[in-house]
Amino acid sequence: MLKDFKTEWNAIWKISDGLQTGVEIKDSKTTIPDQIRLLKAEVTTYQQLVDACGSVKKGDDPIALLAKIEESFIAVQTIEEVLLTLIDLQIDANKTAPKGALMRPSSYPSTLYNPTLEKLGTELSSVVAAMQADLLAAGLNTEVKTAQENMAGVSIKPKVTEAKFTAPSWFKTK
Amino acid sequence: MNFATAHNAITLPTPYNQNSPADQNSVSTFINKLFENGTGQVRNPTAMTNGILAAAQADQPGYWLIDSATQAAILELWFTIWTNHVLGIANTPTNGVPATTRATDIALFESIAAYVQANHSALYVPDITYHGPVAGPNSAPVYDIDGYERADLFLTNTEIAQPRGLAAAQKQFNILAFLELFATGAHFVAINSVDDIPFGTPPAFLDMFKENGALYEKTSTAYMHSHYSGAKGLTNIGAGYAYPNDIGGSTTGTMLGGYIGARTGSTLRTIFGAALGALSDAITADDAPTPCPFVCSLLAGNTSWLAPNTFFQLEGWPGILSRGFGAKGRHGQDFSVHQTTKWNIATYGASPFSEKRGTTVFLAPNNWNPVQSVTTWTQYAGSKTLQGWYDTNLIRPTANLL
Repeated sequence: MLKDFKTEWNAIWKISDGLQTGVEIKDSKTTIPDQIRLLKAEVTTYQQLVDACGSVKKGDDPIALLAKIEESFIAVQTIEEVLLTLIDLQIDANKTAPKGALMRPSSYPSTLYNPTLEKLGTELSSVVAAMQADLLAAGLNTEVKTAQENMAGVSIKPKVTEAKFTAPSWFKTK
Repeated sequence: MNFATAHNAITLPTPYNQNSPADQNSVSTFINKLFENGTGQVRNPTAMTNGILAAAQADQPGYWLIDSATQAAILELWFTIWTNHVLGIANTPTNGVPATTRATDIALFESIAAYVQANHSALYVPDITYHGPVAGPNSAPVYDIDGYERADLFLTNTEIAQPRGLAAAQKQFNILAFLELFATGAHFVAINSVDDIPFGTPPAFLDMFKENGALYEKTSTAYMHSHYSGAKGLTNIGAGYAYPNDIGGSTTGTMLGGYIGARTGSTLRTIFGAALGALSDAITADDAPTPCPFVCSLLAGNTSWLAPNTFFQLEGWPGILSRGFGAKGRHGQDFSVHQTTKWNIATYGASPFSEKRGTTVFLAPNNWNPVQSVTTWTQYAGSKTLQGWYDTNLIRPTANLL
């Protein structure tokens, strides 16, 4: 059963609502708020498709629905990619901006850059990764299982030795 | 290293290597033959799985789908390109590189050689021994790991001056080991994260595929891969690059119609509205082009979003995005065998060195020490995020490491 990730996305919208993004990115044809608007629309589409998936009836075509969900996810991921790149650029722009630029009301006067941006980027990466894991499990019927229970309690000593590789049988030293 | 070879291994037709344009056409026929199964264009999954499991039980470090003469033809070519570049010799027919060799093959191995030389890179290969199959429904082989074997790949000035000396010969064997692992599909991580090497961090291996990199013009952005979660998403635009970008047929098509090819840097073009096209390549065909390079499906990408390392591996064939994320055609069939065995599948063979069992091969400065803590999976930027596909049941440390 696919998840709609509503809780996670709502948390992201909370971070992004009213976000001040600092100085302008020179020559950029788009903005972080523009991309967030696009993302919201596409995530809504995704969630509606997942809801529809949950009420598939006899005679419906769940595979076609899954394909639509995947396509919608790709759109989400495409916007996410642009958004993350914009966030990277914005963080750089804020870091290198002259002090005066950061004193404008629309930006953050007390910090070199807005740390919320980085948090937004991290959260976005996390939820999109989780969505894809969810989709992979559904689409490929793979066993995507957590390994947490196997992760604890073992301490390993590092060991590196020098290799002595030999030539393959067909190789003739020149 | 002694690899197992399939009993019905495919051979490269004899005309190859004679500098005739027709010869590289034979490569196309040969590569398509690697995927033939009756009249189909995917490999026989049962034969592949059985061959891999037999190779694992025989404790082989890989499984070749090509015969010894073909291994020699392909790997000697790559090796010649690499060593010529290091020795300052042009990669031309008079220097052992046939005129029909595809430019993408030459550029790739020249770039890797240059990176290795510039950064004093060594190969770190997990020292693994076959342990047995997992009990229960999972039939993937389990391995014991006893640390890493390190082998320098770069030639010193003395070795370059005396390329026939004993020291240079050992380096050459090491380079051949790298190429064998590469050709059979081992998963490599180039350690270039400041988190893993705080001082003297090497430049990102991935840079060679990005704008201003030597391979950029022939690189596409791959939308889907089943590797590092968190590198802008589990499989991410911008976190995965496909090289070369002219394999698989059409160079037109829609973003959602096939495996994706957005040129590297297209995201920046979206943002800045640059004139260059956004989508230039789409893999739509399970068919080798004519002429055809030997490297048809290299995947490279970041291992994490922040301070990433670079992963790269030769895959069997580019994926066709469709229902189930590429689970159809050549790529899908190989992926299915990979899921069963957790061996990686390349065009020419298969490898137990998969990040999914914690047996990643590393390319790192020769003074780097892999750190193993908490789990048997070596800690590096990208592995520190728990991945759903990582199966700790498939690897166990030897008593020496506990």
